[in-house]
Amino acid sequence: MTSDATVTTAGSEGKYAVSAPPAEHETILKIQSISKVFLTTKRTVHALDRVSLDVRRGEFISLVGVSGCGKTTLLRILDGLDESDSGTVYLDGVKLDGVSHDMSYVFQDINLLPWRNVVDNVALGLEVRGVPKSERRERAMEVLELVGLASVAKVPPYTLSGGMQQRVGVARALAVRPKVLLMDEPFGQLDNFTREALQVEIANLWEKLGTTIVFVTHDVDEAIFLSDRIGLFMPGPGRLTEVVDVGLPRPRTDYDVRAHQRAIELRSYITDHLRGGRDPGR
Amino acid sequence: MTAVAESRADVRPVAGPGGHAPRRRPFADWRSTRVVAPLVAVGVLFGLWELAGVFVNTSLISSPQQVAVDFVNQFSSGPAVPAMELSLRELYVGLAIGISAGIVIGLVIGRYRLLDAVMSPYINAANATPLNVLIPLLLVWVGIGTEARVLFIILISFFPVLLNTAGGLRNVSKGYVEVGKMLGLNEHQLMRKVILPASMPYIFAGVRVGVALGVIGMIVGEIEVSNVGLGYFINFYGNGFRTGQLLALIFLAALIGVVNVLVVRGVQARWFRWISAAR
Repeated sequence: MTSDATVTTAGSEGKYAVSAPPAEHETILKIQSISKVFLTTKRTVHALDRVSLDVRRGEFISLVGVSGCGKTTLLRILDGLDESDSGTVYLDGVKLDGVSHDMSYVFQDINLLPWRNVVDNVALGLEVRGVPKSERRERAMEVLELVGLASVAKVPPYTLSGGMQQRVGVARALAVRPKVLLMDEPFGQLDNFTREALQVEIANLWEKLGTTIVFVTHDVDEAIFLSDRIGLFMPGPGRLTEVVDVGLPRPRTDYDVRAHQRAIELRSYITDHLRGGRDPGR
Repeated sequence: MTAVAESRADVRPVAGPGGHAPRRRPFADWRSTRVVAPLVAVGVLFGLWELAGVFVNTSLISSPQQVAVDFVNQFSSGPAVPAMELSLRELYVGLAIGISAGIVIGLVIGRYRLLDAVMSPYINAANATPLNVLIPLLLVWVGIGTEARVLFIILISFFPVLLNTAGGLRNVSKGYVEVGKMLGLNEHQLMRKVILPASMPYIFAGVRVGVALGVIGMIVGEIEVSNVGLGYFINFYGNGFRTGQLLALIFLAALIGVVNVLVVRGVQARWFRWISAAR
């Protein structure tokens, strides 16, 4: 694919479809027509309206949109933390029901368990997968090494800074060797410098491990810097209106991405799209 | 003008490298505040008390010196040692049963909302009632003796532990539970590895209250239904206007309460350090 290919879409409704993605992409996560309505006493919220998306094996895909557009709800449904009203999700062709052992989730609120030290927090998911104790410790240390926190393995988590805690959160999710890693605004509560450092780190981790990542954020720059593709969510009812290819060369550095003509175009396109709120065509 | 000059001279230079740190205000240091202030408070109390002993009839209140002498005598030649042995044995049997029953039933009630709804009128009524009213009933059921007193200690320590445990379970942060669910923990694992440890701060708070109430129950039970134990002798000395002995035993009872609550705090500080450190 040439770098000057503008925005391509995965859905049929995209107006910017220039070139269809090559057919060799293998789907790992097939999301089919997911709908979700929240009923409260005051009103009915259409959180998700028939959202469909094929996540490709090994890709880094971000979902962006304003608050309340349903992107987090979709992520929670994928992980089985919430149930959808209708629609199905297939992971490697197998229909998902409840929490999947093959996916893990990085929360915005990290919620490390304060009664466990760092390495035991990371190993928690392995305990319930029947991994023997010595191997658990070994694998937990491996992922801690990966996020650069092996030195604080024995420390209680509440003594760590916010950025370190979130790296433990990532390590905890990676320790179970998920096929798909779901990340819900993981850096939303961190300061700018820490966030940028962690963005680079997660990009490196992704390139090293090849894990498929679905990443929810409302930060357009973050999405452009990290992603292969970006799904655009619109609110009321929450729906996925378009999926754009980022098409920037890798590995990326922050400076390159900010200055790149393609990134600038993409940013203004996505921002305009999201700012539009309701799609005028509807 | 002079005033200005003086106040200028008063201004201390900011401590630079190698300079002197600014003098600390008195009590700025937490440790000295925590140690010195209570000592001063106790000293003032004893001073006033000693003074009171000079002016007031000693059958109404003994002097601190006399109480101290009586306290020692209680142990060397008085009934304190056997009385305390009996009282403590009943206290620990009662607490062991009351607290463990409170935790177990609290866990069950905290877990099942329906059970909670069914039981809550009884539990709240029992918790709001001064349980001393049950003593005559206990006497009718089991007669005067160890059983009645232990039963009373069980009852009085049971409810705060139960309420705190059940409340703790319901108040476990949703975030912790979601982490457990996300990682694939089943109901049982979630309970054991997430919900139960997350409830420990509440359970400890309940146990502290339970232990303190248990000591009260011990003394009250003995005052009301006994011819043995610390409570009985407290009553006995009171009836005889022997305030020196009376106050000596009151101090002993207070000491038992304080020490036992401190033991609970100690267990928490030693094995559950995160409870105070994590917040």
